Amino acid sequence: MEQSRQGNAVISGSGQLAGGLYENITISGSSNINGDINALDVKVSGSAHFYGNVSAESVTVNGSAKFAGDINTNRYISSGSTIINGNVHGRVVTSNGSMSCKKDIRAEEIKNNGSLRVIGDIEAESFNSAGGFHVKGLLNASEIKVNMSGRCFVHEIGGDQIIVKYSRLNIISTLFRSLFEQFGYGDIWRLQSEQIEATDVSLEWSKIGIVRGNRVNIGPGCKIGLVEYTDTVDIHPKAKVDHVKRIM
Amino acid sequence: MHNQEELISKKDLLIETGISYGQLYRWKRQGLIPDEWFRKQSAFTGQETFFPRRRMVERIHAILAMKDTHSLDEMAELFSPISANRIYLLLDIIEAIDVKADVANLCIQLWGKHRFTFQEILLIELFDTMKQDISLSEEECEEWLVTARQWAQHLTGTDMQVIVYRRGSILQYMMLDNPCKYYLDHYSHFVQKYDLSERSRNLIEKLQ
Repeated sequence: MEQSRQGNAVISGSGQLAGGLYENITISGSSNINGDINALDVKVSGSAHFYGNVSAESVTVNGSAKFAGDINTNRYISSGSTIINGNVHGRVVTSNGSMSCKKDIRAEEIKNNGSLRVIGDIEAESFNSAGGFHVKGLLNASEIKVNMSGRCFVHEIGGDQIIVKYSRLNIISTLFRSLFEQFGYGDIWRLQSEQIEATDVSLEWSKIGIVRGNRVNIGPGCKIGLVEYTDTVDIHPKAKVDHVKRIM
Repeated sequence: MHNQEELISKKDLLIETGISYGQLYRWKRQGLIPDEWFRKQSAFTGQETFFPRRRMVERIHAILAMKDTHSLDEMAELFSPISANRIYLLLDIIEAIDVKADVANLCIQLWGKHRFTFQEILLIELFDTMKQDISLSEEECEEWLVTARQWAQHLTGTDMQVIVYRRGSILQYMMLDNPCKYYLDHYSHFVQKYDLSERSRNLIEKLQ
């Protein structure tokens, strides 16, 4: 059964849209979308509430959007605020604003420049973050690069190569970091996680329970409970590591 | 069943097989290693992950052997039990899926083949359970197998049920897709109900 696309849907004021096959959907006002959507491009500049699943070539949110179901797309860009109750499957997922996902995110490439909150797991080939994030499950990616400039928390991290740095661009945060550290509140500037496992691990300003890896590099400002390594370990004098163990 | 299985910690697994954390997490992402095999248990260092030793080591050696000749997607297809083109040799798996030899032989004889799809295996396994729950006569066995062979082609839904009921002395079967309420006629007696989606999940676990 081959169905043809119904054409473009443009909502500039307030309106409702039924589910179905569309070419492009553009929402500039406020709208409810009832039912599953299949479209080429979905663009939200105002406010939208999607009650079904969304499957599209690209999904762009510049305003505010709520998704009750899953999102399946090639390119997902959120510059506004989004709440997703389902899973996100994408090739490239970019969050520049605030993005909250109640289930899992699976993508090839994830870029986070804003604030990202995920209740489930994240799986990706590359995970690049320059903002803050809070992941309650496992962050599993081949390449993980974190340039900290917000609060970062992950329950567990696993992958091939993990690099965590603090943002050197922001002078104020550098100033506050040392100030907070002196009064004992330094942990809010640290990436926090219970466990990191990867082939290569390089950390700065992180508070981790256990770090396991082949080649481990612990930089300044780290607080680590246990480091287990197989090949090499390098610990900065300004880091605090309770136990180090070589696994043969 | 799981309790008797010998477990291996993640650390020991990496040492034993010589793979890296990166490889392990990549294969998990690609679906080559089922999520159910990752079992969290508390250890003296906090939580640690354990795997069923025999199946996990076997799987890793299989992946390492195929790594250079197959793409990750091809391997994922190969390891997935429900994949359409995966065929099982019944006599090879009767121990794993706990089906009696005489049941298997009857199926092979009546269906005239040795290789079965996942859906057919599911119904054969159900047949084995039914034979234990309800004493089936030889004729009823044959009737069921003829029915099952047809049903196997329609078994695509995710929520299916099989209902067995008796009218007089005749045993009847019914398969429901997305079951809701049903009512039998006054002269029929309900005998047994089987949930196929649950059985299929168990079967996947057994076949892995």
